[in-house]
Amino acid sequence: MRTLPSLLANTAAERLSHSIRALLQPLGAVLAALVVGAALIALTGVDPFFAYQKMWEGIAKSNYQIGLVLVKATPLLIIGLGLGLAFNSGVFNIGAEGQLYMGALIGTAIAIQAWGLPAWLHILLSLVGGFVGGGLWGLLPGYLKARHNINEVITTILLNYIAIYIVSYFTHGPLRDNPFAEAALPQTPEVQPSSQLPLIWPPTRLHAGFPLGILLAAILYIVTYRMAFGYKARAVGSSPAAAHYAGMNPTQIMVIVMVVSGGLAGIAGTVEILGVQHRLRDMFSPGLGYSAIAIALMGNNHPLGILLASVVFGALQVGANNMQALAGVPVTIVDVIQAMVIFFVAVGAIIRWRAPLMALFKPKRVTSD
Amino acid sequence: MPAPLLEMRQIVKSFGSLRANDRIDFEVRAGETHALLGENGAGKTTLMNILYGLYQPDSGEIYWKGEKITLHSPRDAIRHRIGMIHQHLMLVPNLTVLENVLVGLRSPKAPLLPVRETLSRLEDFAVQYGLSVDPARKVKELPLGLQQRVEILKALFRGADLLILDEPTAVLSPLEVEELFAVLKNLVSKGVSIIFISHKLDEVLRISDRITVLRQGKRIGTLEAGHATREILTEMMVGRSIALDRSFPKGAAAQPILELKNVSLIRPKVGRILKNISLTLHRGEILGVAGIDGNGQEELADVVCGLIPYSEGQMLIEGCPVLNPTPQKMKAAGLGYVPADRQRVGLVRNFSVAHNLVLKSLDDPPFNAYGFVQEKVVRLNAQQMIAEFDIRATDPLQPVEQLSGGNQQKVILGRELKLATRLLVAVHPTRGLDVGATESVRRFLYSQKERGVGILLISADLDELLAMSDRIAVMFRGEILGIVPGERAFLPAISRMMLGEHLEAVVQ
Amino acid sequence: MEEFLWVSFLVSLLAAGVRLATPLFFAALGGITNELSGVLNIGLEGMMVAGTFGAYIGALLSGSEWGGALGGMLAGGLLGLLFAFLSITLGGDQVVLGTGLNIFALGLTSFFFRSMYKAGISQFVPSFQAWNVPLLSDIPIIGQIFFRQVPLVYMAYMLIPTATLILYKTTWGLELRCCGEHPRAAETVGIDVIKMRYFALVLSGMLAGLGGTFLSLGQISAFTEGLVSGRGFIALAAVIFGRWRPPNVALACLLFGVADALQLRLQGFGLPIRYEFLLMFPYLLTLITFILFVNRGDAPAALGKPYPER
Repeated sequence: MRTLPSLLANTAAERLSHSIRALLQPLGAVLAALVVGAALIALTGVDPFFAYQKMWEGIAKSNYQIGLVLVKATPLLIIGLGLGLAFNSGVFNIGAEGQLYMGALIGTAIAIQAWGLPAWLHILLSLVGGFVGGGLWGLLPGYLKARHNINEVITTILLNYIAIYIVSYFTHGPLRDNPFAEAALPQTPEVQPSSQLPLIWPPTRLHAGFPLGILLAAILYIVTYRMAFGYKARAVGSSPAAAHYAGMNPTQIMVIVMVVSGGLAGIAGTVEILGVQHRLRDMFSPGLGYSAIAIALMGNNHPLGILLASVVFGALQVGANNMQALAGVPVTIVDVIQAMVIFFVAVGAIIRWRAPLMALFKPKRVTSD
Repeated sequence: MPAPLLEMRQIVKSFGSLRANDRIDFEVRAGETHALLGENGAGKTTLMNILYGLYQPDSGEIYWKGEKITLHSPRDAIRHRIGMIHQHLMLVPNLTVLENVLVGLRSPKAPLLPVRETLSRLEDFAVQYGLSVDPARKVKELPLGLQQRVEILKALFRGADLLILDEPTAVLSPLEVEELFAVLKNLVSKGVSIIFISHKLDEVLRISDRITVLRQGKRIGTLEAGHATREILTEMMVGRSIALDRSFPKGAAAQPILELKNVSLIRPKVGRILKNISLTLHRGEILGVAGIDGNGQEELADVVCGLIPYSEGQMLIEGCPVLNPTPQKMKAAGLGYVPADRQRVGLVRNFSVAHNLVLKSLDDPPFNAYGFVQEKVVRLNAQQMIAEFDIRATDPLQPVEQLSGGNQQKVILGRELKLATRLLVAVHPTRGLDVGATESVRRFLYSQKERGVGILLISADLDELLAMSDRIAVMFRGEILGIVPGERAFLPAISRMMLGEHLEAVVQ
Repeated sequence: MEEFLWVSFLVSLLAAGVRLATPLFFAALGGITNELSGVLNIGLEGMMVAGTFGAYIGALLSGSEWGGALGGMLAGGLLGLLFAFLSITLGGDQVVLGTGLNIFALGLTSFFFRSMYKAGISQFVPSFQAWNVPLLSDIPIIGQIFFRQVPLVYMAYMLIPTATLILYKTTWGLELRCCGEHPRAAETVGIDVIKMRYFALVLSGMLAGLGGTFLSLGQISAFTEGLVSGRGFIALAAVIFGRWRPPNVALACLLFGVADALQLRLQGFGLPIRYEFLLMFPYLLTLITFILFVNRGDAPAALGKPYPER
């Protein structure tokens, strides 16, 4: 896949300008997408300014709403980090949705157990369970891609459907809460109080998952840009032949990356249960794993960019709910905006427009053949 | 005197700041074979791509049969009955010969493919031009010589009064070259004019009526083949600066560093890529490997460097057998490798100069501590290497893709020379570099020899091999046909071996 | 008696399999077209989604199911055009764009649909009705399975030989395949590769849109979200499984269609298998066939590579 210029910058000044671009680029893409979104809203007969005003009010009218923005951003951030790592390494993992489900399944299965553990341990165990569940779901496509060059896009997509039905089975069957009750919903019992993520900004709904996400972003940054493993992973992504030549083991690296990528999605799923929903429900995710693709691409696969992108989309989500309630614009406009962000980033619109300008100042040698 | 068939006037074509064609005049008379001679990068292919409509010239005019024409695409060229055989054949390997000949042609049975009509026309062509080939075979199953025939058939099918052949002999065996020449003579006798692009003097002298020489995008002159000699042409091609041919002092120690014993590489479905390779490389020796591209040289390098596991035989370093070599093992054994494809293989393009310089040492101290890359050490190391190897980079952290080819090569050389404590494998180390960069690359290689490192130098440039190597091994179809001293006196023997004759036969 | 039950079970299973295979086949045929031209179209799913909605709107506006088919093809074709512009003209990565296209189609159809119907329930629109082919439908078993279907199914039958002929026996088909195998070679014989790929993508979108039409107007007479749910990806796998040859791809689609029909029928049988696993079955089957068959090495050589090279 097209990799945007990495954040491996030259001089301090250039590094700063790269960082600024890492921040500006996602915002530019979102702004462009919002403009197209406005046209769509107008098409349905609603005044787009009125609609966006309602959206903005939904985001900024209270601390509670801001807390909600960060709550919505949390799973997107954690999944996006894993996807960014995978994309950096040349694996287009679009199976985060399934990995999220499998992680949530195992995480929840641990979290509902009344083992009488201290909270920190119960939470930790659940999160590890989530990592394992998601990681296993990433292992298979990662192995098939690395070892047998089997296109990961198709395998991960199909595994998404399979994972959703597996969770469906458990929520209807073995893990169902009180199956004998009349009209019982397909969901697990509530997770133990000891495994619920503490709220950190009462009275908002913001839970400890968000700082966990920031911590993970910092770790991912260090691993990707400061550790030998990250250099190797990026080398495998941008020049697989060079990586092999340099004695790296692309197969191994791709598999590890896919396990971590899936594992992070699994953690995100677990966090969503432990922090927000407190029960694993059939079909509980509104496509978080797909939204996170836009997050990772928009964030240039860089942890900082992903953090920013996830907050922006958390805000769009919260705002869109308000917009739906008060302006009658369906929330799925956010999906459209996400898709357009993917388009904008994929064609590198911003960079493309920049290139001719740069060429004026920096004549580049082109060799003929 | 009638107007020439083709006249190209004052053609200019630039790519960025590089002037690939600088006011070139070129003409072809009806019925002649006109050679376009020049070194790599002299602008021959650019000029011909303009003639075939693939590039648009920045300025200049093209007259065809006396009329001014503009060519926007190959479609226009084909319409004017200009055909081109590209250096990298433009055939679809997965399609049959018939389909390759047919594709893009207007069909009398449109929209259906005129299969039966084409088959009978193919038979006519086979008789008329001596171009027979089985139309039902897939192109990928044919040897290169036959594939080239398919290309010629393709061009003739579209009707060609002028046929451009871009380096047609580069991939052919000597026998196939003879067959090609016979076909070309036949074509000329049927009234087809030919432009023959080459950088090989002997071929040009043999086949052409006139010769135009290009150098660095400019036309140097046009000669009747009868008046041309190797010497005149060489001087026209390279100018007077033939300093590159100066020889380095020779001589090596007797201790073997690398020994290959009957090493073979077998690929399923393809066959033997390397056949029973046996050679010994000594301390401080440069062993050149000559051969036409694609005769197993690059695979030999990959095998020695552990990138491809060999199928049979034995490899020893200082007498110790190396079992299942891997890139890591060979690095540990003191091997450096300058690969043929520096952009794709030798470098991670979007990494900085500094990080490319430690690409193979990311796990080793002092560049790594507890899994972390020691950025300061990496940068310091880069500053040293940039000075030592004269790498023109603005900053150690400049992305390597922004460097020129010569400087990219120096980054690779710097990295590999540090690793090469015993052994260095260099494949086409100066290919595509300008004179200055070529010279410094050769000096770096030579300094390594002086330090006692054994060097396996694989190159298609015979002058380079003769200037540098103590001995030269000649490869043909995966086999080493003979090893001779690296002296100019052996040039005829080397040339003959490159064309497939065994050393014994050559010596007799 | 027992035997008779089995026969009627099998007949109804296969008849349903043919019906369920049809939308897959339309989309897969689109997939064949764009893949032979060298473009990898992960967005087939999104094009089908657009087709389901476009068909609904078309039927609503025109009051006829054929108007619906037109709407479905138009919607899919427009997405194909968008994909072509983004991937060919602007040079975006085909896989990333295809993924974006899927999200785009889901989001956009849902956005328009919910804007139209706040309650999220659509009207009923004219739909395709089964039409028994005279004589053929009276053949025992065969007639019951193949010739008592809706007209779109018969269209699919006819498309199998037609598409094979066009792709493998005409000059246009050869030129298309040449673009997917070796675009530079295609250009040197005067083929406009970019135009060819544009055309292939629009055609592919229209065919996938027709597949979507079948889902909203061939099986139900309304629109709901989630009608496609992965069928575009199954079609993509069928293309690979059938090695880009329409008859083989049709058989692959039939296999997946029958698997789908089987899981629907088994749900009603009270088997000891949980129905979630039955629902999973088509996807699992697709995954397994994909893993086993994807790398047999006869994909178009330039598949997924942008042209001109960047």
